[in-house]
Amino acid sequence: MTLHSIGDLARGLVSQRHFSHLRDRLDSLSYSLASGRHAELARETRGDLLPLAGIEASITRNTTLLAEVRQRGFRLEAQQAAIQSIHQSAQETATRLLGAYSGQSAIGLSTAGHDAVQAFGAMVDALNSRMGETYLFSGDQTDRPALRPAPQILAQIADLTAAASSVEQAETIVANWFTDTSGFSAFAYQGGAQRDFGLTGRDVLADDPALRQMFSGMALAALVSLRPDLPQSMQAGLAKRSGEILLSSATGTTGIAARIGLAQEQATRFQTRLEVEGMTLERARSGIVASDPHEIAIGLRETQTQMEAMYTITARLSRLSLTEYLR
Amino acid sequence: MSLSHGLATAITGLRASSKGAEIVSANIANMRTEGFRRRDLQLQSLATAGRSGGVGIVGVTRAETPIATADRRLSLADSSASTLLAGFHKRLETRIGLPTDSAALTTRVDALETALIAAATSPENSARLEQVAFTALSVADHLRELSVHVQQERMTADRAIERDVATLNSSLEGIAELNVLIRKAGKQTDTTALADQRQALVDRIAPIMQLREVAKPDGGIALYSTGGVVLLDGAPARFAFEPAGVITHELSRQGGNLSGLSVNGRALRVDGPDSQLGLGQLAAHFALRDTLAPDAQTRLDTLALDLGTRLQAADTTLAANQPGLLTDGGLAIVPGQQSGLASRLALNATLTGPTPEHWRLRSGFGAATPSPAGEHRVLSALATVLQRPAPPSAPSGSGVPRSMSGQVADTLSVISTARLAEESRLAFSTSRSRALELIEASASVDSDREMQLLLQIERAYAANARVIETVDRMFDSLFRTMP
Repeated sequence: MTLHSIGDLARGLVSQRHFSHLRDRLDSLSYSLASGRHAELARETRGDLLPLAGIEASITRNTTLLAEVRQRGFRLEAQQAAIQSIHQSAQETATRLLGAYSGQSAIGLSTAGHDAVQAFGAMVDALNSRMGETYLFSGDQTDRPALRPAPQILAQIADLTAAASSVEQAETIVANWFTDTSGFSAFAYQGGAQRDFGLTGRDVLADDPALRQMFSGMALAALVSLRPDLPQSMQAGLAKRSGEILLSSATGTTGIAARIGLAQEQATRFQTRLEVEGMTLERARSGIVASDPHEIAIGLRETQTQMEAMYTITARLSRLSLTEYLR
Repeated sequence: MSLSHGLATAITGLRASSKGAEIVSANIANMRTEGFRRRDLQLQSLATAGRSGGVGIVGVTRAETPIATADRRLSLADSSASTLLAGFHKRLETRIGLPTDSAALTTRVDALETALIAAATSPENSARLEQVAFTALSVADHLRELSVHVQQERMTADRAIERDVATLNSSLEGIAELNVLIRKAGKQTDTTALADQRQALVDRIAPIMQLREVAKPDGGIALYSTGGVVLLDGAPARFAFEPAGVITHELSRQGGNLSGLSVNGRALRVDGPDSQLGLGQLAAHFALRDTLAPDAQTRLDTLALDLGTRLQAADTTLAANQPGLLTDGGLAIVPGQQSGLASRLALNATLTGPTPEHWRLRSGFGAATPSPAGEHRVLSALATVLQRPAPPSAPSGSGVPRSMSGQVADTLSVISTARLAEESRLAFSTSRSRALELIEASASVDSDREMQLLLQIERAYAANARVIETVDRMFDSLFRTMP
């Protein structure tokens, strides 16, 4: 008679195999639970890792861009503050100059002239301000101040206008020096070319025409203080003319402020977009990568039950031996 | 019936019983011996001169499951090959890294791209320029390590072929010797232990190449590979292979620098559709050394070439044949010369050494003097060129235009998909060989069955002994009745 029997070795083999299968499953489940990720990412995505890599790349880029746009926001804010202070001090100086002109007193004029020199210095300082280690208005030459020190610029202007005998002459010389590329731009401006930041606009330079117009007004006013030798009538004329120029330059500086404001708005909008995008990307990534804790808990429970059942069966089977009963 | 005949008959019964007990004890002793097959005692009733004359021992048979064993060996070859290939792909995949790993190649390319973006916003910040140099170096290093790994895999495969060939030769010789021993022993002797040893030797060859066993009438076996090579038919085949030692990307079997396989001095076809190796470990090692690993190297070279040429093209300050951020061992990267490029990819020489010139990252590697501190055009161009979708230079993967990190992910996907395919093949052949192993296991020792047999043998022995005792008493009474 042929009897089909399973050998002892084979029985051992079978239960060993079942145990190792259950242990593998337990390992993979507990890894998923501990890391919050699928143990086998490539299997989960059926080997197509391109979408995940794309998301990862976007998240990394997003994080960097977000940091960069925040930094750009701070920079724009600092620029805006500098322009605001310049604008305000120009308007105040203009009022003072026109007041001195109508007051017609020598002391009033010299005070106003002195104020203008101070304001000129303050403007230069504002445009030479730094954020971190970079200068704000130097274009691509961010490692050096945008303008020469104010006394040097004023001394140059004083030299140029030494021969001027009328308000008109002085005004023409000063205005030409500030508009001519070989004048202010060559002598006083030390920065570089304008940088384009794409979405968040171009840098404002200390060499901007609107700022130069304001500088020319301020320089003209400074002559009142720099040239005490001039007749009082001419000093008064200079005060009046420079006050007018400064008032009219307000449009220019407001324009700059508006330009920076626009860039700030763009930066904020870009930042918001990046933040929203970042959240969406994170969600997309966890959709691919993250494991479901409920599913794992159920899986673990199942595996535990199975293993317990296997232990019971193994214990019973090992006692079920004819050798035991033959004693 | 004569009393003495009865006595003789009972003695054959006793002899059969003790032989049976001997076999049961041999079976029980080998209960845990792997590859041991259950022995059965074959009995036959004896008849002499028209009268039944007790029981005779025909011989000891070894329980066998020839079909299951043959099939299990075939799928063993299949699963060992799949294990090797899946392992190769898995190791490569792990080395390249999955997109969420912090050290993955895609992550490193992303890091280079973002370092360029960050540097473009603050070109005067030397820490950010250093970060660009550092991330570029980490990409180059990773590609170089991967390239070393791939060549290492080829060397491992080469050594494994050598080992396989040695196993093959020694096992075939052993089987041939056992064939001779079994034949000489003849039918009357118990040669089952020799058969066990022979089967164990055949099982050693089984994973190396798919084979068929043909039993010979004289008790010997012949072995043929499914690829059509005579492994053993009387005399064993002699395989020859020359291990290479160190393998670099320049060496290939197709180029004549690496050894093929020959049997009895004749060269064998080891790849292609009409390979003579059939499936198995040996064919897998050849495929790995001569096809898969070189393919992987080509993919890495393509990545290195595309990364390098993208960076070179974006840096407009470069003159012709002037190296950019990443170089071919210090020289400009030239399309068409990318063989082994991944192993030579290096950072521009001006960025290494005791005084690295980081300003070159900002000004471009062709610039003679540093550009303004806030100049960002070169850096922006480098960052953009990595993001821009471009088709890979060699038709690998989908051939669809991708960003640089997308192209890396494409390459990785190709490898992952190959691994998953190989693993599902492996799962199939493994479950198949497990099922066959179970069928084979029915020929191993079952202690319950042996115990049961022992009871029967015990009873038969007792019964035969009783017969002898009874005959003895009959003789006694016979002798007593005599005066």
